[in-house]
Amino acid sequence: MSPEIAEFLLLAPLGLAVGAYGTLVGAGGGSLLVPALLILLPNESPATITAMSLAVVFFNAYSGTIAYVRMGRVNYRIATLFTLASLPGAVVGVLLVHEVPRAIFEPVFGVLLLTVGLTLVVNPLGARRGQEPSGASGLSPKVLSLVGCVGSAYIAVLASLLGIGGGIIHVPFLIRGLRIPPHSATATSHFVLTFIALTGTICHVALGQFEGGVAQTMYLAVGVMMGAPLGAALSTRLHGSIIVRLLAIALCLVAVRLFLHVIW
Amino acid sequence: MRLSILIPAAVVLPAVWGWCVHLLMQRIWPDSGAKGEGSDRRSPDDFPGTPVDYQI
Repeated sequence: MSPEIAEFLLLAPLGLAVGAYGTLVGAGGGSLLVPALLILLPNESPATITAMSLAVVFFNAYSGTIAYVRMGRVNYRIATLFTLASLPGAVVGVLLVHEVPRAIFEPVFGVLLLTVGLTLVVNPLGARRGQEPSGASGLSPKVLSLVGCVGSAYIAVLASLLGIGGGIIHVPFLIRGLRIPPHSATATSHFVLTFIALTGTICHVALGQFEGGVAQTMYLAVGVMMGAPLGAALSTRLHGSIIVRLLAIALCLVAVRLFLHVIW
Repeated sequence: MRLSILIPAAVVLPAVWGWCVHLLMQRIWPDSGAKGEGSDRRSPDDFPGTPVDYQI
């Protein structure tokens, strides 16, 4: 067996799993992909791995968004609003990556992500004890729109700093902050993620961080583009609280990765 | 010098930009008041256990 076929047989199933899981929880799967690729491709630099991951997130989000649009689950107005709010932040984050002191940023953000992740595991939909979660937040739609735009812009900066698409931060923000139901939040997040990941990938290409790993990215892309529709189909069968708990696991994994990065 | 520009930009610009996008969208694509606008045509029975009465 040639090395290329062996690599394809290794990376395409990984892409399939990441695509299904990422689309199910409304994230691109970069939070799982980066640590997996650091182990599987030890010869590639972390910058190349991050660039590869973001490109794969784009293919995942693109495929997942098409599946969600076909299911009628994307709210185009909210998705357009938050995409426009997020794009400049994604570029600023890429520019800031080498400027921010990682020794301070990573543990602080790790604690924050771990706290949010554990909170979502315990209380995924933000319902009070003995009450069903309500869709209404008590705030007017205009205030929610403003909060959503400003919040999405900051999330894009943070996600770029972490080298991920940002779905794992954006989806909890949509669900708990703006009280958007999980099934709509994941679909809307995926739409936003398509454009953020594309912008981030273009930035990485322009900065010359995508010189290696093109073939591996394509192998993974084949997998995620097959896995994303599976994740979208699976999500319709799951309760919103289960989707949020699965997302919380990804949040906790990113937090652990940040802690490990500080230690090593 | 570069850090002194980028850090304040990362703190201030998202808020200003988000506010501008919010104002722009209120003018060019105001909320029609319909629940789940666009292709989001779910009914309360579509998915298990989730509320659907959101509006932004």
